[in-house]
Amino acid sequence: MKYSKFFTFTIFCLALLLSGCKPYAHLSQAHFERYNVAETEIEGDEVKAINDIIEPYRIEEEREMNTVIATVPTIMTRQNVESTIGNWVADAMDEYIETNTGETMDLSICNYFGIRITRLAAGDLKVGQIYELMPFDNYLVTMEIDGSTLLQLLEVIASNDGWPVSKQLSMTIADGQIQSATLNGQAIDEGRNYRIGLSDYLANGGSNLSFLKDLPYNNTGVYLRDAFIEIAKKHGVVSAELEGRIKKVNP
Amino acid sequence: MLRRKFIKWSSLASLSLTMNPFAHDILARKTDWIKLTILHTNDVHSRIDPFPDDGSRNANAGGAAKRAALIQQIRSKEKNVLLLDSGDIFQGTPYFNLFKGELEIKLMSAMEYDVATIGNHDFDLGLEGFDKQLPHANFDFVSSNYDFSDTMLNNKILPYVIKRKGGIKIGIFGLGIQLEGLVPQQLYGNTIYTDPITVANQTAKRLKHDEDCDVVICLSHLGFKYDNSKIDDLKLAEHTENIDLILGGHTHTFLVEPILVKNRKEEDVIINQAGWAGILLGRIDLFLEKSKSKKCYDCKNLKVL
Repeated sequence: MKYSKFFTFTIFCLALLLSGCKPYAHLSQAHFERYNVAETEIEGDEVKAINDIIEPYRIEEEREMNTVIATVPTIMTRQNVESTIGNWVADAMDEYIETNTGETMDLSICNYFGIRITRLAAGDLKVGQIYELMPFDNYLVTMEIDGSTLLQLLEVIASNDGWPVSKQLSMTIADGQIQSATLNGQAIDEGRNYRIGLSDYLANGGSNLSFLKDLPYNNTGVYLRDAFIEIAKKHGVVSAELEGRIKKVNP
Repeated sequence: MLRRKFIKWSSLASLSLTMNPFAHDILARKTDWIKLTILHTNDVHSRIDPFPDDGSRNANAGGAAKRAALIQQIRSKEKNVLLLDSGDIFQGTPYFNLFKGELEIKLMSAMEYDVATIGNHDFDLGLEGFDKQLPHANFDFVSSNYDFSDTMLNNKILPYVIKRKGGIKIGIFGLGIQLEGLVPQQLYGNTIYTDPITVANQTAKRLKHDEDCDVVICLSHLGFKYDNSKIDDLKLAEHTENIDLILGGHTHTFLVEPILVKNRKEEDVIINQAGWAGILLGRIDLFLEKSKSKKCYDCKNLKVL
């Protein structure tokens, strides 16, 4: 019984196959177009439903982005080898860590292109500008590295024509090489450990820092951007001086 | 506005090219055919508003409202439309930082996306962050080479889906990029990445032969082309079979026209990618000829005319 049922079913399937019951559809031609979305003409209320979804989010986004958190007394720029935006950013990282973790930092660094704006105009500083400065969700982390690793790090900074560094550093470079480097006026001791602040992007080996990749770090769990916003709010003023943290000299 | 091109599968196409490019046009022949309109985006990166009008290269480009209008206009003219996305929906504007991807997914649902795959940035708020937005999605997420079974996304992201449009079956699967070294491990957790080529061959075979799909589409977030040995859409097409169309992402590639690549059985595969940020909407119309035979004699070679 069981067998005959199976047999009938098989015959049925075979018949179905042979009779070509299932029509086959074959790709035989294709056309393509690519639309530039901005050139779409919106007709009347066509996208009211879409705009209704966006509107409350846009209102909140604009309110947040337009919130004034500080004043910038004079225009600030991002430049090699040292710049006002760079100095403010690295010092803000240092200050955020020291205030919130109680750790004393030896140095904070940021990669040059980690800062995504080239100037901050004098006047009101809005939250949105900090988002432009730091659009990535990179975390602020701390690491303890030995003196020789610190020197390796400073060599990368020198070869990149200077990255933002915090105020402890005083370094001279020539042809992308370190000529002299001190932290708080002290020579760098290859035998001791140093506490540094940086982004998780760099700590994970980004921007040619692969020698940091396998070293442990502590994540503050705070985005760099949020740390900057907090420090800017705390002081109400965003400014920095050029102090010769990194200087070019003749070799 | 429109850049219109024709791609043909035809053993006679090279002949007809010199005579009359439309001599073999399926639309001119008395055959029974179905048209499937595939619209696609990739790497939209939280671009809700058009780019600001600031004189920069992308000034005023894109915008979700205009994209929705365009999609609606196409839907009003075409019967069988599929709307697909190849990943990196998240990250890129404060909308994402503030609302964690909720608005992006809500808008895709409102535009009636059918299927999307997962890009590396879609892990930016971790598996938990992604999971939190899933209730806002009324479309499917597919990934065949990310194994989520030991994560909270188990069974929430499908290896593939099958859609039916105008009587044809379309199998759609997803491929994601290697996560290690690109996405912090704490974000992707116990997600396991497996080799895209092996998985693609298994999945596409299953869709084409076991599930009897007429068309197989791969949503890829592998990237269009790398000069090293890293897997990309071109290598994927070359080393696989049973895939008809690869819609890519990750490399933000603006292709002037889709690329045709011979697969390992010397059959043609179409690869396309639509830039990023919702600046473009890609469209590929597939014309399928109905026949009683499983073998298609006209489908051997594909020509871009």
